[in-house]
Amino acid sequence: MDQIALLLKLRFILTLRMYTRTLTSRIESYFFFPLFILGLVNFYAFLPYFIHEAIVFPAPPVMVFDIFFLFLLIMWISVPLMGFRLNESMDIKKLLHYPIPFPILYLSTTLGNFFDVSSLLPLTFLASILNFFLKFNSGDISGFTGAFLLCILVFVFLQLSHQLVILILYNILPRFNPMKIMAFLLLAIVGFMVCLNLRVIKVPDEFSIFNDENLKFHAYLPTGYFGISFYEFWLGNVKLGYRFMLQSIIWIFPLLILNGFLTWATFRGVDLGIVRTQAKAKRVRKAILVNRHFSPKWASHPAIIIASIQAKTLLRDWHFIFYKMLPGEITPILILLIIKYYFMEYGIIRGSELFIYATIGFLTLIIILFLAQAFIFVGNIFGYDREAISVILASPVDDKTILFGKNLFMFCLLSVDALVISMLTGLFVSRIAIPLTFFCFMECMVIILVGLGNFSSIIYPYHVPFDKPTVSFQGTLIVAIFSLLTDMILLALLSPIAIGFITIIRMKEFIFLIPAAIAALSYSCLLYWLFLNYSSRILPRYREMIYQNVRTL
Amino acid sequence: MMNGQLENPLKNNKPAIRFENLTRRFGDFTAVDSINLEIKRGSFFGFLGPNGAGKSTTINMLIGLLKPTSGKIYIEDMDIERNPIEVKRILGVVPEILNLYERLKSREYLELSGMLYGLRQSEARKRSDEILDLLEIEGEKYIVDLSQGMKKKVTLGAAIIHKPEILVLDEPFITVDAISARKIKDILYTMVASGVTIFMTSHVLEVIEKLCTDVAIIHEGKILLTGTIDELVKDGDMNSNQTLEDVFVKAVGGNMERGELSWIK
Repeated sequence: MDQIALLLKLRFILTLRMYTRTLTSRIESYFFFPLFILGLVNFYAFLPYFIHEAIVFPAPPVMVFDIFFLFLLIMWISVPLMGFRLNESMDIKKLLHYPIPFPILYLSTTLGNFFDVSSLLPLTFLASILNFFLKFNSGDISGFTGAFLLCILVFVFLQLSHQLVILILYNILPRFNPMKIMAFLLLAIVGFMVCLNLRVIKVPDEFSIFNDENLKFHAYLPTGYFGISFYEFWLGNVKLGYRFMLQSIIWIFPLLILNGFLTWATFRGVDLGIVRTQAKAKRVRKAILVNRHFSPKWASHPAIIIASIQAKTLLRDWHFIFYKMLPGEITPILILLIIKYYFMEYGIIRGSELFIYATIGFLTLIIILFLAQAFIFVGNIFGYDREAISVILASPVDDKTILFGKNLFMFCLLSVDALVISMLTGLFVSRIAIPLTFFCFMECMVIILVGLGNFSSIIYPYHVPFDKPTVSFQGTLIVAIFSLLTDMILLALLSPIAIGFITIIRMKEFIFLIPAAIAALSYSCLLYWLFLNYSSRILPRYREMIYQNVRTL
Repeated sequence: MMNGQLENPLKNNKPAIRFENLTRRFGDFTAVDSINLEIKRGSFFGFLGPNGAGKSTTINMLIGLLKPTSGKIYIEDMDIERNPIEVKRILGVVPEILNLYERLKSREYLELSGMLYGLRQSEARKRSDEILDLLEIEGEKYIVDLSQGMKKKVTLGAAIIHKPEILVLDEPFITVDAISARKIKDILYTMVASGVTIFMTSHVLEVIEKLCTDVAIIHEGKILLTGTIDELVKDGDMNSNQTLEDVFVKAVGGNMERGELSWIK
């Protein structure tokens, strides 16, 4: 028991110090927490009304509760992947050489989850749904105790899922090659979506999310029984509510067992995947083979070398994929898919104007925030070079080549993103010219974004740790505000291209799209060239600042 | 216990650490290949090998962070797989990659370590004060703000705070300044004199030669040589002028000629 108390105390101290250790973190916390709490309180008040509005629509109430809990689950398990600052005591490997028995290690890490300040987030959601229960009931609140107990159960379930994600993040994923898995997943998702869209794959009715109150469907959702149980409590069917609540506990056990297994495997040093040294040896062999047979002259150009070093360093790191790429890459895709299937296919938006505007406003806000995130990513090209920054700045390569090499990597990465998003726009329209135009527009945006990013990287450099999940949400928020300002410039520069394309599409003069695309790309390249030249001219003046900020911040 | 008195650990002839056919494979790559080794109680044992020889894998198995593919490790006659907690209780570990809680102060970290090893809080506090004093560590500074050398000293302090019977050191002197290194060496000598067994790896062969009583050289997962420093250096020839470096380079098949690059002459 002493050890459990000690480990919980450790967890508590480390959590507290995340927000108060330095003057900067204290200022950030003082600035951020009132906003955070204010946001949560507003959310607490608004959510019940939102749920009530949603229930008025054709969607059955039980489905709304289902989706509510499912959304909460998805949000909560993706928090560790979104750059939210994590408690360092979550890494159990730090404790392994102490004589701590496995049950104590497991129990203390599981209980310790509840100490995190970020737990306030799901708690507010759960308080909101209880608030909804009290405000919009049929006059019978006999099920409130049951609903309250259910919310506690949901909280435990959420925390266990959260712990599972962290265990996978720390103990399993670092052992696999991220690019191979990501490429495979991306292809699988895109392929599946295309098949779904072309009706090659049809979803059977009983599994359809929109098939009213089909119990079979609920059973397949981890949060399904939570939704039904809450619905029954809300209606005042207390016995039924408890019945479904007991059934929902089934989902807790696999989580406990899986978390236990992963903790045990780490505790006993059991292999859960490939070990880095082995993979590294294979890579070196492959690289030697490739170099022997394929070494054209252009491959030895300094810009190409800089780009390939950047690619090799960043794309092989899971943390980079999770904290820097996934939020920016996957979210727009998810939003497009949600718009397509939820709002267009099934016409869920058929309610009051407030509901429609709130939904669209929410989605727009997310898109703007992620655009800002994209800018943080592009507009801070030295931010990932903490160890290598002195080598890069001291290398006998001229400044323009350094910038161009780094831009090349970003350009390739964002072009893949632009291609995937453009392909997905094909889900909405039948004419192929539209996705192609969209792709051209996105490419212009990427070219200008990268050029503009050179400038902001030089005047506002800062270090971005990607090797561990310690980027604070507050810090990201402050930088996002700076990025939003720069986004305004980007939007202004992009507006002539957008106006040109939209005019041609509205006039349905598709033949003009080809010269327009050439003009748009030339305009973007010209802007890029101007930004690159100017940035390389001012870089020598800012070298020391870049070095200091990237090294020490 | 003999006649009501504590048994002198040095008089016990059983080895402190014993590897029996210890093997560790990663897929088709064998990092440690059937090694058999006995480390005497109270000895200062140096474990040498070139980069990628299998030293860190062996150490990770020794401290229970990695499961052997086959073979056994016995520490004080306890099978590490069967008694992991008992074994960890008598071990002190300084890993090569420091894995500290960066948001704790060094004093707090030392106290925490002591208490996790089962010391009372008052005792842990007293011992951490002594460690902080001796190694000149700033107790009220957060670990994240300490230099690499200071962090190494904190790790060493945390490893010895419970007076372990066996101390495992992976490159303990890297990044540590000369004055602290001297103090650490003094502590290590005192520990060996009181019966503690030290298992240490280092790339600096002069350090090994000065400190260690026994060494083993590992290469490509296999033990090539083992014995006391004198045995290895003399190699049957009492007039030999070899150094440990010569023995090491010869054993792992390195080139004894001067290093040269074709384009630098």
